[in-house]
Amino acid sequence: MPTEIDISLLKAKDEQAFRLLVNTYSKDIYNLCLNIVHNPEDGEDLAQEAFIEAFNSIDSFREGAHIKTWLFRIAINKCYDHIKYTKRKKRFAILQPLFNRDEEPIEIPSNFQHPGIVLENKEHAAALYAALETLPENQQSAFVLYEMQGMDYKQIAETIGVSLSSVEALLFRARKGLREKLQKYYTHNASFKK
Amino acid sequence: MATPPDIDKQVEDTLGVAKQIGSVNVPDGFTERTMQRINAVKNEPLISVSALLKVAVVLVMVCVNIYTMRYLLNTPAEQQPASAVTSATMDDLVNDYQVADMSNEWLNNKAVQNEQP
Repeated sequence: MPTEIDISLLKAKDEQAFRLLVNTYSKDIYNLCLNIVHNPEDGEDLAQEAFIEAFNSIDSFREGAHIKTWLFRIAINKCYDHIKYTKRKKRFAILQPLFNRDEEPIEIPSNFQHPGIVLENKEHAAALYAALETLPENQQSAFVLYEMQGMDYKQIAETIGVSLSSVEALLFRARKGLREKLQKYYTHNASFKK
Repeated sequence: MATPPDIDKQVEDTLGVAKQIGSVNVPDGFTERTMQRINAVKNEPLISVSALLKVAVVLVMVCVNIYTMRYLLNTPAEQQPASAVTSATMDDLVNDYQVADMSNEWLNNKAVQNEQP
């Protein structure tokens, strides 16, 4: 990955420097957003918003920190803000026609098919994503960053702002939670088939 | 609770899928669209006109409220403008609205008129 991104040029809001930043990290940020929000359109929109936020708050970027983990943190926050907003909107969707007739209620796609999953894994992946959605935010982010984005513990700690031991604990709890949910899911499915 | 081995295997296979999820390319024109949005943000004024207008309206409302409160608290009751309602007692009210003059007679008259051919 090219890392010749000049932070001083970014801080000077240089367009070419930002173009390089977008070109370098767009794929990582897009995949991260996709793995959290489970919707390609929202994933693209949120990835773009993460870069816009980076542009607006580049002055707060500390010299010596990693631009990638900083961008990942922005993207994760954007994604969870979006999820909260979507859930809130869905909750109050019944009241919406009373106040705003033009706005359509938002829907979360439940049958998300990740474009990067081979056909034979589609069913397992759908179960995994459904189980992942039930985990707390920090466990979910730790799991996505480690298992799907291939980050190491140190990078995850820097991204979500916790210690190395906390990352380990978060991953342990995430896997435990996922196992429990998946066991229930497959047991229920097995009894249903009988 | 013990789970059947095939369910355990399914669970482990499902967890294993996480590592096999391939990286997806960004949609075409992603960089251009992002740069366009960044440029739009760059050219946007720091505070929009509508936001300024909202702040101004709130400030005017607050000022009017403060002025009214101060006026009411600092002016003695005798100097405050008299209320439009001057009825002090029930008798005054009856006189003002001529409640005593009212009866149902007009209703009866109307009913009698209707009965006549």
